[in-house]
Amino acid sequence: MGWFMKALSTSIGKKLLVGLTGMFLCIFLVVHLYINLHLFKADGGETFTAMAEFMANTWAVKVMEIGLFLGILLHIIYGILVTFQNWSAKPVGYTTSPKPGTSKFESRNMIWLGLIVLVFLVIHLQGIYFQVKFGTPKPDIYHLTLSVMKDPTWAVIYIIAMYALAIHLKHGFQSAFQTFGLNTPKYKGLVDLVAYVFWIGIPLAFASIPVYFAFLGGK
Amino acid sequence: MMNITLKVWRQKSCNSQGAFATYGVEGVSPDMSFLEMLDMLNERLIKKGEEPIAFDHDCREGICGTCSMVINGRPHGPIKGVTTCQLHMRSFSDGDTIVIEPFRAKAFPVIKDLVVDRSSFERIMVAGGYVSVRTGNAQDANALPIGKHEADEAFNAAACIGCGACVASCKNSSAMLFVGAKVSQYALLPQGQPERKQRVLNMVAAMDFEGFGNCSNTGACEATCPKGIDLPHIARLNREYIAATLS
Ligand code: SF4
Ligand code: FES
Repeated sequence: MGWFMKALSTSIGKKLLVGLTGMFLCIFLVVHLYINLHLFKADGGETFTAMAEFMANTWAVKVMEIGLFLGILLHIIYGILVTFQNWSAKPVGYTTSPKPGTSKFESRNMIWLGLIVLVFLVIHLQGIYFQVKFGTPKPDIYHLTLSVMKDPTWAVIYIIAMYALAIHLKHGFQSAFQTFGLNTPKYKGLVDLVAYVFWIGIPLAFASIPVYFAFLGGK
Repeated sequence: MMNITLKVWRQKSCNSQGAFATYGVEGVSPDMSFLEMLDMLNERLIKKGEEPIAFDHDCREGICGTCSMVINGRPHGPIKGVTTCQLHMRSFSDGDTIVIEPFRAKAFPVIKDLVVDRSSFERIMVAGGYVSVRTGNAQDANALPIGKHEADEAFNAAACIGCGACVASCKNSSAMLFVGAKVSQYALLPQGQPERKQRVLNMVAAMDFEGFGNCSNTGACEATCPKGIDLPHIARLNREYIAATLS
């Protein structure tokens, strides 16, 4: 175990952990999106509710849920650790910045984009997850979710968060592959393509739900 | 002939406070190299009894990696693939104001004016940037077949002159392009195999110990490197590190 902890304390080890947990969270995003898209199904929420209930009552999912929270926590802790070390490695900056720039906006602002996503996550958990889990009386998940999606204020918050998530993923996804050592000329085309589909597709699909219900008159 | 205004970082010693000083430099030939322009200014400063601007330089032909300064926010100046010593004043225009700062990184402390201490790179090299060679007769070159692709890649990596511009341009002052180049160079060649695992582990440990930051894949290093070292070398470093850790 010693070698493992030692590896995780090095610069590359820490980045690997951020990348691996990030990838794990990406898988969760896909599952979450798959369920959410069933809100579009005009069956009075039957499928959506059934899926939500399956998620809430299956022990395997419950174990994964713990893993998920652990993943989020590790991603945040190591992300912050890496960022603080990076700040301290460059105590003095330059008075001029090169034109044209030599790096992309998202690559320099991962911590802030992540913070926006985190704030959203907290509001989101408070608004839906905790209500369904611990609320008395337990609200019906379908109607609660729908009421949130129909609220224009919520929709705007949702869209801003999804935009931040998109930009976070834009850098994070391909960056993780670089950290895993897979961003070689051989795989670069594939990694870039998957990353592209992922960072645009997933947040866009998430955001389409509140847009549809809050602004396009979805029922 | 051109007239240039320079804003140069002046700092007496590592512990003193620095500040920008402004100098007008008249009669600059477009054919002068950037360092010759600074030489000319320094001669004038000496004649006036002022302290000349301290800056690092040695070969002045782009191979030693000694020249180090940040010109208008960019290590080695505005031209891609060129070291400061190979930069010419024709890359600037008459009347330009040029800002010159030292490389900035915790692991590269300023010694004086534009001179920084890059011995942290030396210590990373000592940790693993070598191959052990037994003495004796040189063996026949054909006894060690090396694929063309590997040879080319190793050669590209070996082009790194250890100038530190990658660290200077990186917002995290990460040394991973430099270490990536060194690790790649040996990992690709048969001569590097015996120490392959230990090399990457030791060099990464030394890099961390010196206080360089973590790479966040922003790519500023690749854009700035005068020798065209690119990001796949960092991917290889990561691969080498993962393989050495797991095996
Ligand atoms: S990788 Fe490029 S910028 Fe970095 S030390 Fe080597 S030659 Fe200089
Ligand atoms: S002085 Fe040797 S590379 Fe510039």
